[in-house]
Amino acid sequence: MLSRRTFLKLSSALGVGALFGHYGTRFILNKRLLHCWGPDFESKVSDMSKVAIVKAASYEEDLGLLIKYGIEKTGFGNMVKNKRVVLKPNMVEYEADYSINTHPAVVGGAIEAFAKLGAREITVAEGPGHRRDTELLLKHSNLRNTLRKYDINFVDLNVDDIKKIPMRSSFMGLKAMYFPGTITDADLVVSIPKMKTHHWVGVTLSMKNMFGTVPGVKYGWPKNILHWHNINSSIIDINSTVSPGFAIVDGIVGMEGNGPLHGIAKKTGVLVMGSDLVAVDATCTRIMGLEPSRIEYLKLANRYLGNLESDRIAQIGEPIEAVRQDYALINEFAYLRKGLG
Amino acid sequence: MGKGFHYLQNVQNADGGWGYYAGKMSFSEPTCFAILALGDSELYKINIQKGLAWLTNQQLKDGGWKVSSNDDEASWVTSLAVIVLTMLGGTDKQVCPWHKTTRDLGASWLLKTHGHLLSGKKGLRLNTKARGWPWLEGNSSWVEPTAYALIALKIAMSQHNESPPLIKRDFSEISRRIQDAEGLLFDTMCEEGGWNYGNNCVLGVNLKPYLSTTALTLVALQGCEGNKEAHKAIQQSLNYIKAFVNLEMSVLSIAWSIICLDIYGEETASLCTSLYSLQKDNGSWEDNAYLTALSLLALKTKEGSNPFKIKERKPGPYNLVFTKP
Repeated sequence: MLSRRTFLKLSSALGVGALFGHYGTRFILNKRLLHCWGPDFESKVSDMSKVAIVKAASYEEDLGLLIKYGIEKTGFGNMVKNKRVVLKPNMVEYEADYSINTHPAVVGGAIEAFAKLGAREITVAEGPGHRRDTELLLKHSNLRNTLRKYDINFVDLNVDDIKKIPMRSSFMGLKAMYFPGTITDADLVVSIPKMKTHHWVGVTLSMKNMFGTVPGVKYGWPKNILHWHNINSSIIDINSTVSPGFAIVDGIVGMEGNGPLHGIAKKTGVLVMGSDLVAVDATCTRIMGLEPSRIEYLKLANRYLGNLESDRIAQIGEPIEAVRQDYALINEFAYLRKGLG
Repeated sequence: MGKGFHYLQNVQNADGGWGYYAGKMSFSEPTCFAILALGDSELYKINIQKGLAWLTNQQLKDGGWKVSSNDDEASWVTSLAVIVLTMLGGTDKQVCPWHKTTRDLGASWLLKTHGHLLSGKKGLRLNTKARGWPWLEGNSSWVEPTAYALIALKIAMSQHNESPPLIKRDFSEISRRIQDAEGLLFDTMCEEGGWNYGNNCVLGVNLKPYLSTTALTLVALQGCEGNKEAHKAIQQSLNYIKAFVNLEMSVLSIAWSIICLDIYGEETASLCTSLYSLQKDNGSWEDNAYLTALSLLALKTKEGSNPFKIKERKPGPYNLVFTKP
């Protein structure tokens, strides 16, 4: 593992051209990247990342058991004890006929799993990107009943206390942004998105889900600043700064086509988990029958925030080909599958 | 309602502001709504004064307001502060002349701030000519901040005889911005009436209206009924609210709908009953100071008090452009 700081020290001592490693090549070839990763950014990417693919035919299964199995199989089970855990599902809109939000059963399963693994405190938190009416979304999406069942506190991240945090990368060109105290004070933030296509960036998974940590009270509904500064760049900067520690992707029923709101439900029957969000999202993208290196933000994040290449991801559980379901794409993103077998 | 006022009194922070939830940091939005809700009561005069002191401290040198004390740039909440300072100044003189100047600087900030067009986004149907207001300076215009700014400027205009020189000087500029913003709002109306948060169509898919956004927008559009097309659009949107508000049973939607329907002379008794049914034992709505204050404002309309009702609107030469998807 070579951190950026170590790389810079080495490069000044030896001369950049003497380095042929992955980082060195990247810094030499791409000045923009050199500028974008801040001086305090230290990549913690390991050579191999573990990602668990667990089959779950429906939301009626014992998801607590399956999620706990996945967490343990990725070697993360012993990282939970005594932690203040924030579970961040994707809850953006409610339409009865659409599969938009993370299913409450998956959130319930995650609550059970992290409780059994010894979490000191569990909070469910989300800052919906479009609607101010979070209470309505909680009610209609049925998440409120799940929270009551487990007696878990919910925090609306849109109106939580805010703190100004320096950005650890600057693809957006911002030195700092405000984030909710619930997120900045958490020991572990777990991204729990829905497996969906996305009409602006191709796919929305655990990394894009972190948009919900940007407070609406400061940045509005929608969080327009993220669009102004390019969505791909925003995804990188938010993830590098918030540093979510684990991801559980609800791929039991995903969304294909014109996602993230107006697509069609796609039964895929999987939960995908891991502590490397880039590897988790790359794996999901492969399950969706798409090439992850063609997703702009995954390409940018590779080896800085996590691993994208399949030879750096140890798949645990089901093999990708056994669960692969080719997701339909809008025309603009047809290139994500072009030429793939 | 008394329990609701008492709840607001109890959850006021020591710094004078209100957070969205008890014990959380003060924000401009819940503080503005709490002040408006408590506004005409002698009983809560000290709470209001402390709230106003906190609020005026959030104004930046450029005249705009921050969302919270640890924020560092002006934004959409400037409209709310202007509304509060205008309302209180115009009713019971709780706002001193210094506050009026503060309000006036806020109105000036609104006049110099406008939304920008985000280029390169295919599939969005955007009117490139009409300008409204953004959530945050430098961003695009969106429905809610545009509606709040419209309400603020319309209220300031309606009380222009009492206004300090800056408002008077900018009278024609205010009129122009109001008409621009009204044009933008009518242009972004959803096909079935009502408003989503910004666009009404993305990648060929018509977006659905939200009740709370629709009600707020109609509050902002009061005074436009003289225009035939505007009248038709307003009626269509009012019908949308009446058809769907009972299905949603959301505090935010019901409260804004009551405030809106009251302005347009529609019946609200059953909605008020619904809103009462959602009040918690501690007097709050959803344990949320903003929603509690908003609900109290809605219920006060039954007593003939609606601070969002604009008394007078100078008729203007409307030239609304309706661009169909």
